[in-house]
Amino acid sequence: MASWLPIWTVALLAAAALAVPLVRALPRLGPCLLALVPGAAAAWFGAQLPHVAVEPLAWSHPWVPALGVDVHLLLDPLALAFALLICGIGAPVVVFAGGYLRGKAVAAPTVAGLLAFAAAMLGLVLADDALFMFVCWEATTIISYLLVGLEYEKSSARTAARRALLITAAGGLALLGALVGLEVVTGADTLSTTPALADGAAVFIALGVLLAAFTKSAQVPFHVWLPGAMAAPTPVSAYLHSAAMVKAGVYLVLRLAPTLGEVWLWRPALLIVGGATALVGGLLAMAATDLKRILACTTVAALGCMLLLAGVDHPLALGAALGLALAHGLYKAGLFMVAGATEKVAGSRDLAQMDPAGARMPWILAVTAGLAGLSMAAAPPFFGFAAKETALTVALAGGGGAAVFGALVLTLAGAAFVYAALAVAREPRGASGKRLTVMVIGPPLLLALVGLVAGPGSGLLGAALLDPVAGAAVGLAVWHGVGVPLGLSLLALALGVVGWRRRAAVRAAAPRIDRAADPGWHDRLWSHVVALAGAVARAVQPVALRANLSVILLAAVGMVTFALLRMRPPSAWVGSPMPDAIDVMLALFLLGGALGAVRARGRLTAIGALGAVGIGAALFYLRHGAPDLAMTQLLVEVLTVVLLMLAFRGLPDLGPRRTGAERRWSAGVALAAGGMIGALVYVAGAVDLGPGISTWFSTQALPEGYGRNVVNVILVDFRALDTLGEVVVLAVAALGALALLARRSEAQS
Amino acid sequence: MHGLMSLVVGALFAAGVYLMLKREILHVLVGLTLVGNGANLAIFVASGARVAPPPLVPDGLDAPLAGHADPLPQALILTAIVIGFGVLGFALALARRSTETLGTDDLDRLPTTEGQGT
Repeated sequence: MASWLPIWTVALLAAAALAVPLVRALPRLGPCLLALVPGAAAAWFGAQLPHVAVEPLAWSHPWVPALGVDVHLLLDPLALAFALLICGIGAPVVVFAGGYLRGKAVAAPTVAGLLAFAAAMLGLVLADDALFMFVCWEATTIISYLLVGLEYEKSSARTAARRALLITAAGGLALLGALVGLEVVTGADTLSTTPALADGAAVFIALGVLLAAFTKSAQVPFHVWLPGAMAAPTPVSAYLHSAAMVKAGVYLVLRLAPTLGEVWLWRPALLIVGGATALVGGLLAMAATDLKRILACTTVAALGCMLLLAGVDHPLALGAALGLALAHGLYKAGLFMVAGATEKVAGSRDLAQMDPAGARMPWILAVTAGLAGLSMAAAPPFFGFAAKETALTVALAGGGGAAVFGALVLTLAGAAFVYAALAVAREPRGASGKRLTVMVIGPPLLLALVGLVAGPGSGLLGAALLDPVAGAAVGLAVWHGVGVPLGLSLLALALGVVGWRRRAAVRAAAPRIDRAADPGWHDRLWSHVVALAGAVARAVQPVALRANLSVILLAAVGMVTFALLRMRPPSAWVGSPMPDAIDVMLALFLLGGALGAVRARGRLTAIGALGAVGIGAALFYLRHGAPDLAMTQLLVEVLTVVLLMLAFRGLPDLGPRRTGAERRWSAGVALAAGGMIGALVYVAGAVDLGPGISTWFSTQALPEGYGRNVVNVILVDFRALDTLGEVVVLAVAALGALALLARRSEAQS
Repeated sequence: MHGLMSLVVGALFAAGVYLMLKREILHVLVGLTLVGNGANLAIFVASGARVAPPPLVPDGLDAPLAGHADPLPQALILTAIVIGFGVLGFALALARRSTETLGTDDLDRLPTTEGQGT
C-alpha cells in the first residue's frame, strides 16, 4: 500500500503536464477528466482512514545515494487529513476552473498550475524528511507566484504576485535555516523520529519554523500579501488561498509541535501572533465590500485562530486546530467559488453594488451560498459548527483564556457577517444575466453538501484523524450540549447579524480600519529597496565604460591587496637567477613598447608600439623554452597589427579627448591595477608549488600520446576537448565578424 | 629575474588599463590587447619561467631533457593567445561597424539603448 504514496504525487504532476493541450482541445471534458486524478487520490486516501491511525504507511527511496539523502514519505493521520483536504478540494476546483474560465486564454495554464500545485502540496504533507519537505515547500511558493501572476498583463497582478513571492520566499529561507539546524542538532533522518527539543539552539530553530509558518499562513504582520493575492483568477484563490497553500504554515506548526512545542518561544509566539491575526483579519473583513477580499480577510482571521489554538497549552489543542483547518478548507473553497459564480451572474462581486431592490439571485446559487455560509458562520449542524464548538471548548479549558475566545468570537462574527451579506444579496439591476453552468455551480454545491453531511459525521472523522494527532479523544461532535461554547457561537452569530444591519457605520470606519490593519510596510520597504538598489547600481555600474571599468578594477585591487596583506609568508621561496644582460634588454624593450602605446598620439604609433610589445613577448617565450608560444605569438601579432590597420583605415582620427583630470584619474587606476598584478605575479612566482601534474604530461607524451612535442600533445590529445572549445570560440567570433561586415557591404550597395 | 619580469607584467597591465580608460575605441582595443599580452606573460612568469630546454622529446629518448621548461603553462598560454586573437578580431569588426553606423568612435557619445540606471 505504501508504494502508492509517491504514485499520487507523480500522477498529479503528469496530469499537470497533460493539462494544457487537453484543456485547449476539450475545454469542457478536459478539466473533468483531469479532476479524476485528484478525485481518485482523494478516494484512495479516504480508504486509508481506518488503517492509518493504527499503522502509518511509510515509503522511502534513495534520492542522492552519494550524499546519503533518501526520500521518506509517511502517511500518518496528520498527513492524511491534509492529503484529503488537498485532493478532495483539488478535484472540484479543477472542474470549477474549467467551467469558470471557459473560453479564456488563462483556462489551460490555470488548470495545469492547480494540478502542479496539488502535487507539490501533497509532497509537502507526505514528506517525512526535511530536504524533500523543503523542496516541496519552495515549489508551492513558486507555483503560487506563477498562478497569482497568471494575468500578467495587469500590473496589479504582477505586484500582488511579487509581494506574495517575496514574503513567502523569505519565510522559505527561514525554514531552510531551521531545518538545517534541526538536522545538525538532532541528526535524525526523518521528521517523525526527531526527538523533542527544549532549549539552546532549539530557540533559533523554533524561530525559523515560526517565521516560515507565519509568512506562508499570512499572519500579522505578513498578512498583507493575502488580500492582494486575490488578483489571481478565482479558482486559484479558491484553492491556494483557502484550502491548500495557506494551510501549509498550519501544517508545519502541527507537524513540528511535538518536536518544538516545549521551546519557551513556541506557545507565546503562536498565541500572540495568531490572536493578533484573528483580530486584524476579522476587522478587515468587516471593512471590505469586495466579496473575494472579504473572504481573503476572513481566511486571514481563520488562519490566525488555527495557529492560536495550536499554541494553547491543552492536550487537545492540536486536534482542535486540525479540525478547524479541515472545516475551513471545506467551506472557504466553496465560498470562493460562490463569489466567482456571483460575479458571473451579477457582473460584479462588490457588495456595495448589490441592490436590495434588484432581482433575486438564482435559487441554486443562493442555496449553495447559504449552505457554505452557514458552515462558515458555524451554525449547527454544519461541520464548521462542530469544529468551532470543539475549538471553543479547548480554548475555554486551556490556558489561553479570554484572548482566545475573544478572537474566535470576532472571527465568527466576521463569518456571520459574510453569511448575512450573501443571504440577502441581490443582483444589481441590469445584471449580465449569464446562466450558471453545471461546472461552475456543481463544485461549490458539492463541497457545501459535504460540509453539511460531515457535521453529523464529524464524530467518525474526528476519531480517525483528530484524535491520533492530539493523542487523546478530541470529542469532535455536532452537538456538545447547551453550554458556554454554544452560547458563544450564538453570540457570534448575533454579532455578525448586527454588524450587517449596521454596515453603513462599519463601512464609514473602513478606511481607518484598513490603515490600522495594513499600514503598507511592505510596499514602503519595497520602494526603499528598489531605490537603494538603483543608487548602488548607479554608483558602481555607471553607463560609461570608463567609470564601470574603474569600479571593477579598484574593487579587485582592494580585495587582492587585502588578501596579500593577510597572507602568511610561504615556507619556501624559490630562488630566482639574477637577470643577465639579455633579460634586461628584453625587459627594456617590453617597457618601451608599453610606454610607447601610452604616449602615442596617433593611431599608427599606438599600433606600432603594440606590435613591439608582442614581438618582445615572443622573444621572451623563445628564450625561456617555449618555441611554440613564440611562433604563435609572432604570427598572431603580425595579424593583429594588420587587422588593426585595416579596421581603422579611412576613419577620421579625432585626437586625444580626455581632460587633465580624467587623465590623472586613469593614470591612478592604471597604476593601482598594474601594481596589483605585478605584486601578484611576484608572489605567485616566488612560491614553490611542487611539480604538479606537468611531470606526468612530460613523461606520458610519447608513450600515451605518440608525440614528441609535449605542448602539442597536451593541446590535441590530453586536453583535446578544451581545444575543441577554443576552435568553436574562434569559429563563432569569425561568424560574428563576418555577419557584422557583410551587413555593412549590404548597406553600402 | 622574475622580480624584473613582475615589474614588466605590471607595466603592461598599467599601460593596457590606461588605454582602456580612454574614449576612442581603437585605443581601448589596443589596451585590451596589451592586457592580454600581460596576462599571458603573467602566467608564464608566475609558473617559474627560466632559461631551459623546450619540452620536446629528442629522438631516441622517451622523455624531454632533464630541467626542461614546464609544458602545462605553455599549453594554457597557447590557447589564450588564440582566443585573445579571436576576441580582438570580433571586437574590431564591431568597432568598425559601430563607428561607421554611428559616425563616432567616442565611447562617451554612443547612444544608449537604456535609461541611466533604472
